[in-house]
Amino acid sequence: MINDLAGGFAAFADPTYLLLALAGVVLGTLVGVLPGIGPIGAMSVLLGITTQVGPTGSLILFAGIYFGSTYGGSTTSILLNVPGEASSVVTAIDGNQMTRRGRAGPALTIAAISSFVAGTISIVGLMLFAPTLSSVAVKLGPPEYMALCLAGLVLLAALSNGSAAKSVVMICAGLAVGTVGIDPADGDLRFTLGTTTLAEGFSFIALVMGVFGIAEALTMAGRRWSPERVSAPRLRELLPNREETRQAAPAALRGSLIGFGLGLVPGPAAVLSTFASYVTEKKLSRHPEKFGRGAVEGVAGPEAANNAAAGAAFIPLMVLGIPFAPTMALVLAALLLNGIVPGPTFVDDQPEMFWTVIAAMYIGNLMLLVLNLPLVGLFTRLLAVPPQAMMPFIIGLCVVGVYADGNSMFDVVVMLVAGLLGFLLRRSGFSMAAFVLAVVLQPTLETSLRQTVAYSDGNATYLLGRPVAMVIVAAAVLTLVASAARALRNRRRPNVISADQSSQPTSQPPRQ
Amino acid sequence: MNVIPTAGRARIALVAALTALALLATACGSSDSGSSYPRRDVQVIVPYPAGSGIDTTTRALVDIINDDGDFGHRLQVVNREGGAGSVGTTAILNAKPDGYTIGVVPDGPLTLVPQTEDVSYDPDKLTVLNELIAGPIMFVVPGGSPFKDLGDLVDAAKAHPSSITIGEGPLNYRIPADLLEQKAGVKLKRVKFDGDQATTTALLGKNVDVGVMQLASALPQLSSGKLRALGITSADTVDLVPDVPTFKSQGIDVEWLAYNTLIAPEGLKADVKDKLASTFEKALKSDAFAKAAKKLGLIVSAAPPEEAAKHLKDKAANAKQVLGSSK
Amino acid sequence: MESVTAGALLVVGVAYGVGALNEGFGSVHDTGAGFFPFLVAVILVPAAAFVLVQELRGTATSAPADEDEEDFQGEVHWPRIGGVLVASAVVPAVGDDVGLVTTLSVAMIVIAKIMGLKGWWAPVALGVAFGVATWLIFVQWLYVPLPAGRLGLA
Repeated sequence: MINDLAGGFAAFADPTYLLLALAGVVLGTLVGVLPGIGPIGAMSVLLGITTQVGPTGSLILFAGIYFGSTYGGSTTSILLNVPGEASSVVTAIDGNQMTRRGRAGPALTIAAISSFVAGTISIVGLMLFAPTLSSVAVKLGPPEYMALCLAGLVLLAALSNGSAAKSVVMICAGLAVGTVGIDPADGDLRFTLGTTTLAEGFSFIALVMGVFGIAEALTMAGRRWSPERVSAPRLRELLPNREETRQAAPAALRGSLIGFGLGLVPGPAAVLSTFASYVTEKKLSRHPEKFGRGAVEGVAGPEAANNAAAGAAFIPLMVLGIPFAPTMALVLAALLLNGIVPGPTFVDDQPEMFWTVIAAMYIGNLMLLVLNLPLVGLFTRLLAVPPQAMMPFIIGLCVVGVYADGNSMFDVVVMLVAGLLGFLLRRSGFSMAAFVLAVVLQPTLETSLRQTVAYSDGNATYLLGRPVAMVIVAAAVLTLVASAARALRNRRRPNVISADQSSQPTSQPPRQ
Repeated sequence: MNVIPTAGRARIALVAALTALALLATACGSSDSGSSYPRRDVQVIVPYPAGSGIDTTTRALVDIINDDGDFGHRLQVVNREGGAGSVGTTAILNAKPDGYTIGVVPDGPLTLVPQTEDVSYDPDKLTVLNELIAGPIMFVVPGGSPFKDLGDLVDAAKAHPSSITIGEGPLNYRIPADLLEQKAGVKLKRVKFDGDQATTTALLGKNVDVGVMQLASALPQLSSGKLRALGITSADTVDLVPDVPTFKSQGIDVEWLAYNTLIAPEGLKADVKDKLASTFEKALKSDAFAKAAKKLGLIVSAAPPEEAAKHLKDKAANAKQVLGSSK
Repeated sequence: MESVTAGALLVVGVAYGVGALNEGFGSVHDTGAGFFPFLVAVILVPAAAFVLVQELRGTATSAPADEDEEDFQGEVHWPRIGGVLVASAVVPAVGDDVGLVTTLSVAMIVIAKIMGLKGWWAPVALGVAFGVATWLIFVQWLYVPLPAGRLGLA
């Protein structure tokens, strides 16, 4: 294996591959930083040149784009509270809070380093365990996907700081919004009010940019007094301090494992893994009340998770020839257009290509770290821009990003409406993170739920024959019970809570 | 290691790649080739996402036409996914019939979906150009399955009604499964999957007993032995998988083909139609496409417009009998 | 305010549930397009009703959701919000005809003025710079076909 890997690196003696890797990570970082357009857009554009670049070159280029976009995705989340990708919604929660507390530099640095750690771990995992893992991954079927989605949603509702009932309402709203358009199982059109526009369904990116980006811009617009200017940070303020590093490191490692594990599951694995990591960190933390107020673990964990998931996503493609995510479908297309049909025998048939790509991933990850750290200083300078100029800039980014993602003005309208509704709902204490996760999970949840119902013939005992699904459900229920018990205990001693939080800007009543 | 030749090609390609990255738009600026069609680039709408099977097929074909250059302008693939293909189909059929918006669609949105759904286009008002692909459907089982042929499957389904799970998907897969149930007089437990990749995963994990899928999706798995095909819905055995028997040869009278067809809005001018049809026919019959199709597991049809239109009509009529009054 | 939001969600939830049944619930063997939406409505309606009752009785938790913090509380300058939304809505309204980048640049200048950016030099520079950068990045490098409009200005 060492020899194989060395062979892979040796291929990089050819500067073409190095340049392709560099082009990939730079382009990936760019589309990652820009909200809206993401790796899928960039790869679709480049599908046209894959035959000229060759199969190995295409893989290197696309892997670079994919990893680059997961690195870059967190930037606008942290700085502007505008997640550019679904997988950086969670990062926005604590990342932007860190920015408001003057820790933008450390947040970006931690995001970059966590991404690097996670990327490296997932490549090692890919290299060592790919065949074993993929044979385990395919064993998971609809009941397990369903259990994972349900567990994710239930835990999110139970563990958010605000009202659990409001979270449930938002989760249902997200699921409902997701069902507009095509029925994923039958292909039936529904809730379209007879229009083709709605048959496309609501663009997910438009919804995210609306409820986060536009709603954020409207908040700025709505302030009666302009907030004070944030001054550009000094170099010392760009790096995390010892305390922050100590908290971030274990979170990044756990996030890597969670992301790697969930990355093997078909569907919205990367997004799910960021939420899972966030919930885990909050659960494990001695200071769960810090979450939502700039907890370092809330940046390190999810950022690591989505990068690890990105690496893991290559496993089903390389080992089985099955893309589990839309980005991987594009990688597959690039190979197919070059006449390479990856199947279960891909690694045996094309060993030098496989190892060159593995080497490319190591190199790309390193390039990204080197590229991203200096950018931290540059990006944090953006914060010195006064809100009167920043706000139009955010709106401009959102409009262009959303338009470019779907080439549709309707998406821009959806974004603006979602922005206004999101703004109003957030004022009433409804969680938009719950809404977004629900929209992401809806297709997988609905399909797997209906498949499970079909398997079981309506007989609930069917699930007893799916131990993995049962374990996932049981774990979710246990967490739920534990947090309910804690909430109950807290309610009996309300003075402890208020004392605990007297230093916080808003008081936090006990969970319902 | 064959790094050297690949690298050589890649280096040449890099120039192209970087040029493309920086100035992809230059191609649009090339000079006008006289007054006749085409005067600018043509959009080829694919109603499924980039990276899907039909998208890859279309891109492979479009690459050949663009490389050839005889068409005069470039063809650009535009993905308009959603609504089981109805969004993209609407975009094609409701466009101006000027030859600058055409599309490659699976036959479902034209022949099947309108029979079960209200669609925002008229499936009869169109210009049918060439038929690209005519692909049969296969019934596939995991490599270690006890079923050796369709007979085994039918016997097992008779012994245990509604307990053999079959993974199906959109109407093009559902109807062959319906037909099998009807003709053999059995009942299977139907589980819907949203695409061949999901079905393949379920088969590999033994989460479903039988899967209905296209030849192209199953091919790499078949050649590795992880999956095995029980039967194929073509009239005769197919060269790509010579040892997979047809349904008919196993006594089950099911013949079913799924087409990918090049279409344009109704009212396309005759000269534009001819130009497009001849351009695509040349590409479809080229060696390059034959080679690509073989790798991808596609069965090239290259049927001319009249024949392609007839296929669609016949299929819609056939499907009517099965779908009945489900609307 | 909060009770209006909760009430609206309740109404939407009921309408959605009714719509779901119209799409067809199906059976256990063959679930219909309305199966999943109906289940969602079954949870959504009581949850929204619960929130509404809480709001009306004044027992609701006023804690903001995780990601929001204090930002979404307090007084709001509504005219400015309305102005920003109207200015943004100009983009989808005329962007196809006038050109996306042009419209957006103008909209951004207007928004910057609504936000109270002083003078004319800074807002115009912001709008134009953004337009140029957008055109370079999206149209030139990423090859995204932004609508060029009748004037072909992009």
